[in-house]
Amino acid sequence: MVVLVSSTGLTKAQISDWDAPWRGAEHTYTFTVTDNTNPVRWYVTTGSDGTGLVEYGLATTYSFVTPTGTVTDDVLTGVDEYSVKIKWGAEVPVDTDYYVWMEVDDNSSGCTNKMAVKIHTVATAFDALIVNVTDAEGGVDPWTVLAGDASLDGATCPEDPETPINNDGGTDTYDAGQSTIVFRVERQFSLNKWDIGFSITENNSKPFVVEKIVATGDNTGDITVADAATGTVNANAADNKVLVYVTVSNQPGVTLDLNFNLVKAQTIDVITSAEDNNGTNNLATHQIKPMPVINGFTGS
Amino acid sequence: MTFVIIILSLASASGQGAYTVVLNSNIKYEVAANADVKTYVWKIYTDKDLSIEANTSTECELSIVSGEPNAIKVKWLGDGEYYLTLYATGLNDCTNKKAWKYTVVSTPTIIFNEIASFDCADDEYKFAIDIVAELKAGIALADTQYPLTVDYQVTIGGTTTNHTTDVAYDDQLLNIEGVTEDIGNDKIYSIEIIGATTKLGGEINLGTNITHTRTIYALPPVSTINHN
Repeated sequence: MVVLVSSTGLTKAQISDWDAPWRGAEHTYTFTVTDNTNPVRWYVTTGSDGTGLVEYGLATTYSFVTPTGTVTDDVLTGVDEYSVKIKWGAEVPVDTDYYVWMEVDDNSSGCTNKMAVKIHTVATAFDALIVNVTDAEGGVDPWTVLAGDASLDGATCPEDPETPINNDGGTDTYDAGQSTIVFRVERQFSLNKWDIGFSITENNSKPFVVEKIVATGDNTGDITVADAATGTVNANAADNKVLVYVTVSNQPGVTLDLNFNLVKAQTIDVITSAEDNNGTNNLATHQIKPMPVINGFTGS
Repeated sequence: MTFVIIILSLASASGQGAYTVVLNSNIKYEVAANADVKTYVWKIYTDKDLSIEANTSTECELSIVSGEPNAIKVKWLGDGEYYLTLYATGLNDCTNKKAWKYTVVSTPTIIFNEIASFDCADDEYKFAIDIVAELKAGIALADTQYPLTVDYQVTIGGTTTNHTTDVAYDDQLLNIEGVTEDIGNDKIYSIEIIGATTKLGGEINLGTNITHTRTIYALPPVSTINHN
């Protein structure tokens, strides 16, 4: 009987890998066995020699995802089960070695073989980063456009006035309207429920009005957020990315240099309470250029 | 006859709802010149969505004001509702637009307040007649439309002379020329308004009482008395 090792990981780019999993990540580990209908046992240890059996099913350890066999005393026992999906615990220690073992008994000879693969939980804890993905022409896909893409606009003109007519049933009914900019917040090194604490400021302390904030996760859709310059987006575990649409009131004649800040202490892995550990990728800026002022209208 | 007078401020930036303009008025509109603007474009639409441009032959005529791109002259040619719209493009290529709603009316009228007056012949030939100019029944023409220019005819004994004079808002009086007085003979003049326009060239229609009869009575004859 020959036992070969293979494993497959999640296909998300730049994220968890089978031998460097993130907290909460799921990966499939497969050993190739040339004989069939053999009893197998799966377990995880901390020692490369098979010592240090890891307790099964804790948030700080791991669990099997819909195994065919049964888990007793921290060992999964099955037949012909040469591939398992492991979900690493939401609070599994980072930067730690583990060994995933499969033992197989030859059902005719009774001989046993076993093999392990080493994994090392990712060293870095939760990190959230932000990118301005506003495109005035509306041609880019905000979910996938890379930071620095030439189509992205770090400065845009305001959108058209909402009510251009100045005397429509009343006095001074003109409404300059509003403009919407969009940021993409991504998480790394965690697959747990996460919070995005944000604060929108203006570089020169000019007053501005946030009319609306709309947040949407890449897997779960709209997330309710208060319409305010500071707040928290409660992102779901299934969402790796969240688009945050920020709508601000237009102010003719005024340049707005807006900063969308991720507030480190409020941007967290909700399960582990780990705070965003990298503050260097927490700021995205956008300038709303001034639309010209039209005033002093007279007719003689 | 009593009138209910409501004063409207027309063609100015303080109205509530649409501004009212008298048909055929020729008005210069402008906004404060903005050094951050590279182009101004003026248009007039007939719909609230600012998509259907007015007909420049039948509805309104726009004329540029040389050296003043922030201004436009509009001659209003047809009754109706219009949206005078300004598009401004900044040096940074950002744009803004603003529109003002106008209602063009051809309802103004002018009449004499009295159809007849009398005087005794003397050396003072000048006199004036009250006029009443309304935007529509019960609503006086606003001060911004004055002075009015009134054309009138003076007729006596088959001879007619034509005259033009301005009427000021403050007194609403049509000062009459072309009348002379004779202490020895009665004179009866017929004075008729034949046309009137606002300060802005807007058309004022002739109402019902546009003829006034001015009777100037001769003085009773007095001759010398002989005394001895």
